[in-house]
Amino acid sequence: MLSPLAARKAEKLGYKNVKVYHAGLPDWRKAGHLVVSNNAAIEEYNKLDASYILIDTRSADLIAKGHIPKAVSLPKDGIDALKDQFPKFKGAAIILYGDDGVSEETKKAFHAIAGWGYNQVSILDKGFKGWQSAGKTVSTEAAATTINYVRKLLPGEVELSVFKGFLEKPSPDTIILDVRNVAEVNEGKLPNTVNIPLDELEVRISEVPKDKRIIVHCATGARAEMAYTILKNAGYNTGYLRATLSFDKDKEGAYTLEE
Amino acid sequence: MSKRSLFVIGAFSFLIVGVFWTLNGLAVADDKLPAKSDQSCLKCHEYDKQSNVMAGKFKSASVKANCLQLQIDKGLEVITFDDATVLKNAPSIPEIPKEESVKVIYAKKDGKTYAKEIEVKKGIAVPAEQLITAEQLADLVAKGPEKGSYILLDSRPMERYNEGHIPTAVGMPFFAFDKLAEKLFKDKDTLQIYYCAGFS
Repeated sequence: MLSPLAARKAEKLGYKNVKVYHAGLPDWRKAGHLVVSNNAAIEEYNKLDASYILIDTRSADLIAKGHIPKAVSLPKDGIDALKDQFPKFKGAAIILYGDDGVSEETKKAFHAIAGWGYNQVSILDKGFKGWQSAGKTVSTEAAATTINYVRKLLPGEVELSVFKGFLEKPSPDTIILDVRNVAEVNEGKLPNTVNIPLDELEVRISEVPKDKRIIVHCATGARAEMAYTILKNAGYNTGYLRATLSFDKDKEGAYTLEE
Repeated sequence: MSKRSLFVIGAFSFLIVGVFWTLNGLAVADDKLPAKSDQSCLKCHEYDKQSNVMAGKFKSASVKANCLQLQIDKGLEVITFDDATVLKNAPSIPEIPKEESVKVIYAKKDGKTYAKEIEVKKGIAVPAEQLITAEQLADLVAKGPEKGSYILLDSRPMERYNEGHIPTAVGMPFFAFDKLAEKLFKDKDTLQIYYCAGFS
């Protein structure tokens, strides 16, 4: 939305040759083109203590001499060897770097990772040399060989282990609210939960006690998040679970919950 | 007036109301409800002076519960919909792209916040001759700004630019336009190409 406004502004100022790439960065990625990032992105992630994946695509010799802190070295067999370690979260920030900008190795890894559906992958535009010459910290410790990405919880999100704890050991101050519809609940429900389908929650909100913490779940987390929004807007102390729930058809009461 | 005739009038008016409701879809109240709008929408639209409007970014939808979620500034709103909800500019509600700007005409229906109409905003109209495609841009980027004689400008906030931009682009956040224009533009004729995060 900002680019057409900027173009109008430029024209008003008398610039005569103005164009707009209206579909913008999402379209550029979709068309399979490269996206680059710069040193400030890494510094910003570090400052915010945000999770990101940094991959050094240079040779083992060069990496041993010095690399950007927190980098993972690209395996000899290429990026495919790391695929299993990538997070499920497709919006994870992933930065690849070579020696001085876009290289064959970074390009290859970029296209592979983008092809797996990750939409925040980029190549560090001036590579390791750009980082080093800007006077940034260089690590000479052995680079990591495995990805360790911990997704940060979203606002209101309750950790799966905490949720499971409440299932096993109900707390008198906490209610677990199931917002799936009745047909789904008939196929199976979690122990110690109360059901109000999401589309009835707004009307039946008086049934939900205000003096307790309400933790919401559904079958994936999508509806639970909406219920969390409704409850939060109504002044409740609330949280929700983002996990996939399924019931074992052959075994009564058996279920799996996974991120 | 006899009790009997009162009863007849009562039953009759109930019937009329009943027919009326059926014609209008079920029990949609016509009350004026406050407008809720994301600041970004208010730059171009005066939603704050209207009623029964919610405008913000589309976040998610659940078909199982007929609910959608809209981000309005830092808050979220959950709105229900059904087959009678009018949808504009999208094939179906679950297919509305995330983060797209959406305007909802809402009402209370059976006590729930209900969308009478959902309009996916197509962004600000850009004249066709001013548009450039990914392919045309990729050709220029391959040549570079000097050979291609262009300047490519990223209108998004600097943090977004830092973490991922089109090669050869320069960060020019929209809100710093005036400050940066002098510094970045050498003449009036060089091709300027603007982009951001797409339609919103």
